[in-house]
Amino acid sequence: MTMALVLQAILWAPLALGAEKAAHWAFQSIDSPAIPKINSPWARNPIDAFIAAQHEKKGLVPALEASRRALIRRLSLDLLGLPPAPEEIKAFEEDPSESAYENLVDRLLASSRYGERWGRHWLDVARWAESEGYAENNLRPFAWRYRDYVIQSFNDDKPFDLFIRQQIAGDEMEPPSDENVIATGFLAAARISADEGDKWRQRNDMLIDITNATANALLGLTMQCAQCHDHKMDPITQRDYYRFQGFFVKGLPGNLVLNEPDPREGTAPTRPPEYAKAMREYNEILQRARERALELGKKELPEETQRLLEIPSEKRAPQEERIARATESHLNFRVAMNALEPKMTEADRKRFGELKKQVAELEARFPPPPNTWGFYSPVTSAREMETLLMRGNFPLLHNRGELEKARPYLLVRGDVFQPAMPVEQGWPAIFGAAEEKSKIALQKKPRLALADWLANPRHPLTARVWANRLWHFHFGRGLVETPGDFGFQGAAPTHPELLDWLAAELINDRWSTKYLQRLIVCSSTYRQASSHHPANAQIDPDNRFWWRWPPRRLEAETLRDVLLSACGELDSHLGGPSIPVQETSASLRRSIYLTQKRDSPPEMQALFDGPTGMAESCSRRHISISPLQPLYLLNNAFSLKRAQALARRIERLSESDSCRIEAAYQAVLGRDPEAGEIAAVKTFFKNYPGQSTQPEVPGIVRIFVPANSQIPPARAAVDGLWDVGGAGIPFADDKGIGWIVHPEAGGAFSLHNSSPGPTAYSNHTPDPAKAVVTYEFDRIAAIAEVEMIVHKNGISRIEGFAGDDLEHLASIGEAIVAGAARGRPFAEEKSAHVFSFDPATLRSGKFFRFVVRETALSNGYAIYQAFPRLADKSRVTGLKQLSSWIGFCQSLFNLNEFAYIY
Amino acid sequence: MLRRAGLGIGSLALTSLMLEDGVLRAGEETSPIFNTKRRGRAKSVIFLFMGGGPSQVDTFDPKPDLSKLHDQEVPASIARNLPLSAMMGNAVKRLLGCPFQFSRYGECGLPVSELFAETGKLADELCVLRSVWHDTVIHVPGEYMLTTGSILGDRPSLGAWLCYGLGSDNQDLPGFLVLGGKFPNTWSAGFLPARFQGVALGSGDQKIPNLNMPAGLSASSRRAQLDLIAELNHQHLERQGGGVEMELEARIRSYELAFRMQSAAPEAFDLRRESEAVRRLYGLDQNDTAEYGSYCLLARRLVERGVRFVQVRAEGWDSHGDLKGGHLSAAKKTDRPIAGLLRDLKQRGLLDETVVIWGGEFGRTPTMENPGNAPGRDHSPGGFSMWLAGGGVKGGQAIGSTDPVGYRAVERPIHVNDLHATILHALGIDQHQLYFLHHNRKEIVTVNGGEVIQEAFS
Repeated sequence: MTMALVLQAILWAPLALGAEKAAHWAFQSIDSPAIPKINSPWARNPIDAFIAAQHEKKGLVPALEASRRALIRRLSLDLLGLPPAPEEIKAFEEDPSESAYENLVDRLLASSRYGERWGRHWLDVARWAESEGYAENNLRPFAWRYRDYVIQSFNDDKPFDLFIRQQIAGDEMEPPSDENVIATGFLAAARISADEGDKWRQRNDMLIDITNATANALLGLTMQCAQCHDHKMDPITQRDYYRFQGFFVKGLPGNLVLNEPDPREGTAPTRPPEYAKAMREYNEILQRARERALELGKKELPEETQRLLEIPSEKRAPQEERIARATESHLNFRVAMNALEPKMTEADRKRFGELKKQVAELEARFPPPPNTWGFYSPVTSAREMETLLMRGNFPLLHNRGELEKARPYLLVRGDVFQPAMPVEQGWPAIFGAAEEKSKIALQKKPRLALADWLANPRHPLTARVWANRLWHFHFGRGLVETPGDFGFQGAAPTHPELLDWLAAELINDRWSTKYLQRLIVCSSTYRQASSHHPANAQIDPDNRFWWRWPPRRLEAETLRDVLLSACGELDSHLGGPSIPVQETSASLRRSIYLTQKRDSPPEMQALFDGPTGMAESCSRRHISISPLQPLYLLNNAFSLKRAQALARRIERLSESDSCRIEAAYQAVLGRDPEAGEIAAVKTFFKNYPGQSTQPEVPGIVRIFVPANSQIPPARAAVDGLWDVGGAGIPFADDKGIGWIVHPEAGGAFSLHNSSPGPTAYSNHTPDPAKAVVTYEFDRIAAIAEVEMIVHKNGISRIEGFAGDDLEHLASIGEAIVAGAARGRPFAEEKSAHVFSFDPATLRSGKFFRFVVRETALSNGYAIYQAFPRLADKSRVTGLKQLSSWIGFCQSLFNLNEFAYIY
Repeated sequence: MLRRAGLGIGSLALTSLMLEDGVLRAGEETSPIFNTKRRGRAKSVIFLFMGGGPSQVDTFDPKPDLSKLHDQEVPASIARNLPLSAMMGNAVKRLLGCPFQFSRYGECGLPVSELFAETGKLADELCVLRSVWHDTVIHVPGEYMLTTGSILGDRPSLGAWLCYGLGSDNQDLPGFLVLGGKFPNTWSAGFLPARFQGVALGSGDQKIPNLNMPAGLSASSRRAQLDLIAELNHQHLERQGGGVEMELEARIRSYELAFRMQSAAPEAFDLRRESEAVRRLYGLDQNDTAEYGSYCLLARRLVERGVRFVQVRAEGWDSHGDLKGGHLSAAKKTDRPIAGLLRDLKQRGLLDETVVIWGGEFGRTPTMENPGNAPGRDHSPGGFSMWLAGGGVKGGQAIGSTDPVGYRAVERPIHVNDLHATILHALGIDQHQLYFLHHNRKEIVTVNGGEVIQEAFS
């Protein structure tokens, strides 16, 4: 008998927890309710029958069907997170087929953009991020595989029960597969304090995160309340909480090595066997040093404490366990990674030094094997896995022996140093006890048992919670208004029968998410216009009974994606490693691919209520309106560039004003302008000031950096010796690698040496022999001075020169490096130095050149920026007055209509 | 829609949400978060955060016995009661005498060390809390503790709470601004809506993100754009009619707010508008004090304009070695600007409505670390000093005390949550009334509740 079948036998009868609590609607079994018989041609499918029954009861009149134009935009934004192209709108409006709408829905559901849109919803629920959180907040560079797994799962319409199993118990599933392991990124998305020496607290905080997120995401219960005390509202005891946490105690998150190479990463050479051999020895020496450090520390303890630590954890009394935990945490400070070497024996230390060198060399030559940030238990998983060390002074180690002994304890007031009593893993008692047979399964594969329990078709919550989340994401509000709380304090469903019917359909149709979504979006309920109806509003002002389409603002990511799409610049490349944090502001890829660093989200994501902390499962996003949002959309370079791109497009398209206006309306709003709007736009053009009143400024700035024969010019933009900031267009030139800088990019450039080193933190200080940079301006006479902003790291002296005499370099300044003062120091990191010169003396010259004369090696980047300035000190931007077309396009991107789903 | 967005928030909070949107007008004095008995005088808070952890026994908590016991082991009577705190392993068990002189200042005769000779002159304004405690010995969690009430860094910062609860008195500036900020979670909105997050001011000429118009755009072009946006949005609103209109209107209004912020903010940030005398008062004329002085002066300009909360961070207090040199240098940068700030607030009548908080993430051990020529002190959260000034706080007093060497709070221990309750009280807020319903829990600033230090008020 398979385990799943064993678990099928679980009793669902609630225990004696009080009739009222046991009778709570969400804990009752899901019975497919009868579809109401209604006498209305409005209803297209059973969803409409449930909705119409309430309409009739309340005296509400459903809105008319929205126009085809509105419908295709709504469907595209809702299902793909991208607007339809003007041609697609036209084709749909003119499609004579009776099933035009259904065909459109099928086409959209089959698009791979769909997974990017709905995957993002799930990532909210999974509180997924690509960094560890807390103070260290190290990045998790391979966490993206989970994001791609989620996208792929939605695109494949993976049955939701399988989706749950993989995420909760992927490493325990048979047969082992990379996909299953990657799916455990759900559990592994927990925050970890990588620098927490207090090892009990470190582990407990991580377990709390996993427990809360799992209960919240899949059960729709706010279990976290029971961490410290029995839940005040819901029938969840503190014992239930720690029993539930018990499912996870035998495993840990980590960088897990995968079996199959990833085709997206090319055919990189695999690491030779001597690497594995060296690593093994390296880790053994580390482990010996840890044990030695701990032994030495133990010897300093009072004898009674030493004796206590000898007792195996499972045999300790709670009081003894308390003392043991506090002592172990205290001792753990001795095993910080950066403090282990001095604790090795002489021979070990010598050998360790050699191995460290060997490992670094091999790592520089061979990339790491494909790995993923997942959750793995060396005790209960289907196969043994190789793990790569995580960063931080106190990394979590997959120590089989320790994890075998790990067991759940009930903690007094949630304090990890106050274990009260050991508990057995299991689900909350309200859901009934496991049978004897399944108890064995619980021991062997605890998370698989949990997943099977969750994915059991008789589970009262899983399907309801998911069906409600789908409704919530489609309509902006769930049938249960609190999608993450189905407990007593959560909202009661407005349409309980409809919710149950949807949940039953989901289960009966093999947990197909797309099937349920197709039902929802094909309903008449979904197709209603957003128009207002005063009589309805009297009865139901909040539209709780769905008498119209509820318009809602686009989420931060969608707003950004739609901006990129409307101006035709969206890079539609699918999947792969995330865009690095420092490149997110300029990236043209979909928002889901921007690195999700906790507390440092991409700017738009932070401003428009996207996830920021990613600390816990997020069921509903806030919608806030603040002046910082228009400041972004009006002033930030990202949004300005989108307006410029659209303006270029429409200007190329036609000479006629009205054609251009129409084209812009089509691109941004997917429709033609109305008469009143055309009038307003004409007024705008009348009021918009004419061309520049600013002084003539150089239109083109070129800068030349010296050739480096080892780097082909074509690659310079990506990984060359020099990076040149700004929207540079590289060109090969007989003077070396040259860059012509687009006039709109402004006059600031940053340079840093970014040659890839053996590790991520190698020296990046520029080589003085190559650090001669020449700026060439069209009209030097306009430029009175150059303001240098210097990030002093690694640079000791910079000299500059302006004019046509290349021999007369003057010192701009010197930096203090590594404590040694040298001449006139750069006062501060990023200090500005004005290098001024008299235009009168600059006869024919049109250069500004600076040279980094000396550098000192140090870790990090050295960056200089040079801003040419005019006599009135204003920085040369190379920008002409922004054209009225740019101003117009930018205005359209700021309209309410653009930012909302109608 | 707004109503929906507000679901899960206490009704009063919704009121403040709407207030800030300009949906409701002011005149909300009766808001239930206010203490009915006593409306606090304070309107704003300036938190002078001393990153690294200044030593209590070398600043505001004189310990004559400590110098007598220099180089001796911690007396057993004290050692017995020390918490088992892992990091304390680094400190040698021998005590380190205080290398600084204390003098009595003001009418109250409050003792202050020479490190804060200028601030000491304002002793009659200071209410020193000598028994503040918590239990993390690590820097960043300590900063989270002081700013959010918990070491995890995932709760709202005090400034975010106050903006959520009280809104802002200046619609043209963000209500919570951060100067010299280093760790984003110390100004995070936590589970509150993201808009209440502090805005960390940049160091360049663009202090608020995206405040400057793009090059090549003139004010009249921007005006034409805003007029077009408003006109098209109004036409759309008319076509749409009803429903989400409140939210749409709020969004329309946000464009005008943004426009006003664009002109108001540079004025607020422009320190050149201050007289030479004022600039000197804050130490802007000297290299050592210019940076922190400019933060303090900016803080005054901001509270003067109705900004609710200004967090001003200094660093350099983490003297594990060379306590004397390290603390002298950190104090030199901050003493004069802080004294200048207090004087300036007072002479402008702003001190009464501004609570100034001084302190770091923890104090330092009375024992020595890195013994030798230049010993220092390790982190110590068991009993350290902070002070409050202004906002109705009674100055010229010290509350609580530590043991004879200054290791642990013994009399009137003040947990950080108590400190936060006290600050709310100064603003007239009942800590239990300002809440946010999050995952079914009425989350409050003080986590599980704190105790107001009543004797801090006159």
